[in-house]
Amino acid sequence: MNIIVKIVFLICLLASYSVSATIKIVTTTQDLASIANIVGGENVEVKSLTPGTRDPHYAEAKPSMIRKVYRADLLLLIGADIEIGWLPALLRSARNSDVQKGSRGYLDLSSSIDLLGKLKIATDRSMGDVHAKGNPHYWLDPNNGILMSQVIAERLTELDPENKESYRQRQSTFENKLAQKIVEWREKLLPLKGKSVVAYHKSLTYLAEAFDFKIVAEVEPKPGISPSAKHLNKLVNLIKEQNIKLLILEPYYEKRSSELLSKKTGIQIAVLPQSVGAMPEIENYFDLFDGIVSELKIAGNF
Amino acid sequence: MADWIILLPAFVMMALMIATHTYLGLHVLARGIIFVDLALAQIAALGVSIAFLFGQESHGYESQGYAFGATLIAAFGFAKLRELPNKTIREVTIGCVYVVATALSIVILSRSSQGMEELKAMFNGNVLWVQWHEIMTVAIAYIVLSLLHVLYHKKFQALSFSTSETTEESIEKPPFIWEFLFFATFALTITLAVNIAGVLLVFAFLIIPAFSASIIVDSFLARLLVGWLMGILGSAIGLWLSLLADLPVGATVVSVLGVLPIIAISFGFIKSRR
Repeated sequence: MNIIVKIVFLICLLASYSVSATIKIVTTTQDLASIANIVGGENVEVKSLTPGTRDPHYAEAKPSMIRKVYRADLLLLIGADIEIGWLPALLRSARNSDVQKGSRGYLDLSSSIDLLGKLKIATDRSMGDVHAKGNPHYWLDPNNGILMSQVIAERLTELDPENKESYRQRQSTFENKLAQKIVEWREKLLPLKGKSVVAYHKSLTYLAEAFDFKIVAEVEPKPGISPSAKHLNKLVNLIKEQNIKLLILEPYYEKRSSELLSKKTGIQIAVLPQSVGAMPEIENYFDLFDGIVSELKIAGNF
Repeated sequence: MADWIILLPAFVMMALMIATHTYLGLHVLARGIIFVDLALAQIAALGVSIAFLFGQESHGYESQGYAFGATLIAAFGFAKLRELPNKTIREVTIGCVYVVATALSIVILSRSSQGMEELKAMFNGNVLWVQWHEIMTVAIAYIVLSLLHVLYHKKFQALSFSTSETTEESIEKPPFIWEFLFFATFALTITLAVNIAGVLLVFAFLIIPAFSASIIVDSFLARLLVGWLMGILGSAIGLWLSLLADLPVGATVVSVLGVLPIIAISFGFIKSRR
């Protein structure tokens, strides 16, 4: 049985080499897909394994995922353990040696970014959904978007030196546009500067870092654990004491606890797109922050 | 990669499950303790939860050990069930075990978010990710268990098919140790499958092919063969659909299996009219 499988695999492998010269990129999230698409242009073909509407911590096992990884020349992942629940199993099942950990077709973007919230002590599961390697939601700081585009362009150049110049050009166009946009976004969010905000999950830290507001509490008592009545009560007191006006959360979290807090304290809820594709109108990395900024402006009433 | 290659490991795993589960399902149907399998599967999940609490990796051999230990204890309890005089009381007891085991898993895993995800995974399963070496382990275990059941098939048959109240005196029941052995092999079969394929698929494979086949044919062997055929067909169609429409594999297969009893009932209806 195993030998037959291997022979069929080999045949498929040979067939896939002869098909086309474009680099097939598969990404774990749509944010990565968007940046890779912009940097790679017509020289690449990009597919995302998870839709932006879903929490990237979890992914349903679907046959198409194995197919995508099997055919990929380059795998881009967020890393820092965010995909730990599903990517290792998927990589084992897809058996594509080009994109296994350690090969050139495997690019963990988190290794090029200075992650927030790195832990110096060992974690155990009682601490909740804590990432020992650091907070993996770094794409929510647009400054990291620049870093990501640089690393992706570098790796594409390595894999496809012929098109070096076009990767360099598209990356620098992206970088310039993003730098410009960051100034614009920061200006729009000026009223939020230094303000205290409540978040649902520990995932929006990078956003706060990028736009200078403070997340003083989370609706979840521990990352990934739904709030208890006791914890919600504490939050009500905190919100009233510090006169906090804004609660931010991603669309896929339950809203009942947040609505309860809003009812009791009058705090405004802003549902922020956390990823490209989180809402139909968020089509690329620029739309993502345009969307976040406009949601914050509406809820913050400024 | 040819598309069927993606699904081949999942299909082989399901075929192994159908082979053993249909057989066990026929026993369980005859005994009228349908929910014993759901309860056992849930107890296997509870064992994994407890392993998780003690910091074990969810798919490691240690947690498998916890799961098997928990189901073995339950197996002992269920083997004692036959001493209960009343069939309703037996079903009620099994029902209680099921709900409480589920609730305990939730309580244990509530402190850990990854744990809650584990719980969902134990229910849905991820048969698509199954590896060939895992399949080998399951296959070897199932072959050993099958040999045991084939060698001592008279004892096991007597256990299940003489326990109904009417025939109680006519056939001599084998001693308690056989009853325990039956539930222990049952427990091992389920533990191995739940870890890979999830409670949902395990329960579906235990009940649906066996039940559908029982409507159409009468002898044990015929039911087993028809059950296997239906199970394999249903799984193949389910897998193919999941590939075509890109749906989660386990749930799609169970949905397709749901059609089997309907086909069986209409078939039985036609047969009885003739």
